[in-house]
Amino acid sequence: MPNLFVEQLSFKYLHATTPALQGVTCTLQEGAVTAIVGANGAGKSTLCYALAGFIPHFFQGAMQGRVRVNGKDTKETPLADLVTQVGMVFQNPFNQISGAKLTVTEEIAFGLENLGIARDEMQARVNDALDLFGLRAAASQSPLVLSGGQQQRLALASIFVMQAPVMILDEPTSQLDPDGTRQVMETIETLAAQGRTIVLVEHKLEWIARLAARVLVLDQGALVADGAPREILERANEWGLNETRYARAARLARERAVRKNDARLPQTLEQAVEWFQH
Amino acid sequence: MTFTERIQKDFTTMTLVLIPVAIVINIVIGQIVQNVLKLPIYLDSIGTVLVGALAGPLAGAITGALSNIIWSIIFSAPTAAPYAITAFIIGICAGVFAARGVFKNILWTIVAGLVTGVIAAIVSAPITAFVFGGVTGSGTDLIIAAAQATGANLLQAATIQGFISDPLDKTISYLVVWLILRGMSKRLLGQFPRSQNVIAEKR
Amino acid sequence: MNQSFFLDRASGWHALHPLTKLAVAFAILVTAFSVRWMFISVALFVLVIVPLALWGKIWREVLHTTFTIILPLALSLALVQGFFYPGARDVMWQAGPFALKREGLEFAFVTGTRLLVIAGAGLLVVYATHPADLALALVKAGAPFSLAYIAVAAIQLLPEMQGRAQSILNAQQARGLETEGSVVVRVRAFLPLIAPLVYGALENVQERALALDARAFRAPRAKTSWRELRDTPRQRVVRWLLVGVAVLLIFISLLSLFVFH
Repeated sequence: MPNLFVEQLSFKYLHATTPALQGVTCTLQEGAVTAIVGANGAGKSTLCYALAGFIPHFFQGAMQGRVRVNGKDTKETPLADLVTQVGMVFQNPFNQISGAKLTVTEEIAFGLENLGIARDEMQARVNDALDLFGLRAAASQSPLVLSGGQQQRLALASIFVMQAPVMILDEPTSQLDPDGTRQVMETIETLAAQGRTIVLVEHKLEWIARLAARVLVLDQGALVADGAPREILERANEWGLNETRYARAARLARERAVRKNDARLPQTLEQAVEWFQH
Repeated sequence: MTFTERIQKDFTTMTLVLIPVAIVINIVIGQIVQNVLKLPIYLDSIGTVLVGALAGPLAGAITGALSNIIWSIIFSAPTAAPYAITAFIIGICAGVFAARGVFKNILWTIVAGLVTGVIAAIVSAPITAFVFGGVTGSGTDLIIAAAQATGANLLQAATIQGFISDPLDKTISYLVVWLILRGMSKRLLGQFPRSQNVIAEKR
Repeated sequence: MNQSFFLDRASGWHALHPLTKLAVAFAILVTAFSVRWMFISVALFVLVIVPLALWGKIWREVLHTTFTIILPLALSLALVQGFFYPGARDVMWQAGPFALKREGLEFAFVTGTRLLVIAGAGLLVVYATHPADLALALVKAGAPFSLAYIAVAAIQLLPEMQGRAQSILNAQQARGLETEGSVVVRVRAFLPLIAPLVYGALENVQERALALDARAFRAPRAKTSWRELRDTPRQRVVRWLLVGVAVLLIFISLLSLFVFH
């Protein structure tokens, strides 16, 4: 049963002048998608690194406060143990290809080899992942010839098979074209439907509105808001974020007195359809 | 710190990722200089020296040696492989000199490059003489011919050939690495195990 | 194409364990360098390397590559050493001040055929062994895992970096960079071509390292392997024999060097 506690977490990178995170405290919801949003430089990636244990084990700097994963303090647990509890997927699809493997299948198995998982177990998990992430057709191709969307799905697959209860996705679609974005987001939707605990950092608020059960907002290293998507996203402009197109349309309609609906602004298509009917 | 402890400290995951990148940089820059710019110089050790500066002598040595071996496999050029020994030594030199702080000062960088070039020539000469009979198929073979015509034996001839090309080549390589290091942000430099070679500690 | 040197054929030679193939190549190389008979290298090439290449169904590629590389070298060798070998007396042909001497030609022949053997033995291994299998075999035999990783990653990264270099070349040329002409012009083009390449590569190092750590790359436990290597007891015996003979030869030739000189 995954539980992730962050207690008064502050962090300043080595050689930096300002802290990247200041006194962040939160508890992660199990089995749901929690989104982290914020302007560039707000500390979203830093928070992800701290949740996954890369702070303090990979990045040097001054860390205060505590992150606890399944009762283990990240400062006192080695990184190799933490990655079995928290998996992380990064922005650039190409950078996540290990380079050690010549086929997609073996690439997915890479993490399992490192964990010393027995071959039968490896084969079972990898076979499931090939289907779940739509990579069966590309199974014997080199990871380097895949499209961006495929490579990112490969990254997801190779972390997924390690079976960490929590998966952190740090802007997984920012370097993808619309088609690739859709592929990856739909995969995340499937994972969420399976009851996985997911932390999603995203700028595309339409997808946040659709996938997340809870939204955390970071502004200059501090946690400034925490709540349901529909409430939080309404204030997107406050934090320098681009509001969803549905909210924008509704807000303009309200301002120009085309619609007089006082209910919360819609953030998804379904909500918009409902909102515009009044 | 014992020797093994120091090795472990140098070989972080960043180092393990840097080395293949540096190997490829060696090969690609070597190709650019040879095929695109057609300059009479190798410049295929820039990656080696860079790794020596950022991750220590052993990491630099491995970068150099593997670069030669991989070059010889990929381009079906077995003539490059024996010089892996020279490349190994260049990496060690770069790491040792970097630890003494040469990359914090352009003049010391040049001196270190010259010394490395001389050492490289001395190490390469017996390889050229023994394995290749003094011939590598490049224009420098004429130098061997000229030297032997004046009565020098093969080893001496190969040394002379090395002394003409290596010091210049390595000095330029060191200068390029000095430039590269200057252009890297402190944050990025700080990620590498030997960043103290480059960043002057301010009290 | 990132593994253009591995030729996937179904042959007995291919099916041998990578370490067996390496042992054979090692034995061939040691024999060529330690037996003091002028024709040993030719004999090894014709009697050992070519038959193995035939068995491995790679003889065309081995012969083609070997001769393409070695012939120009051999020619250069013959000329340089034939004319200028110090201390040579036995003149075989003369034109003006240039005299081709027998000792020089002999030296050129021995060295040239040795190069033939180096190329041939190397290609025998490389053309018939899948790089991942070679890496796995070396790791199982005790090579550090990181070393195998570095080698395989570098080989795979190369085409991407070459592509990036080409894009940078195109982009810079489109902005007016000259890469042909006088030496000064070409030297000036150096930094604009390599600086973007190097900095671009360095930027990605951090994320690549994070991604590796996220896959438990540095976990201290024993790793398992998806690929399986086939080995037989007979091959193990053959390997030990080959290495033993090679070491013996090295020992003997070193002895003769010090005793008889």
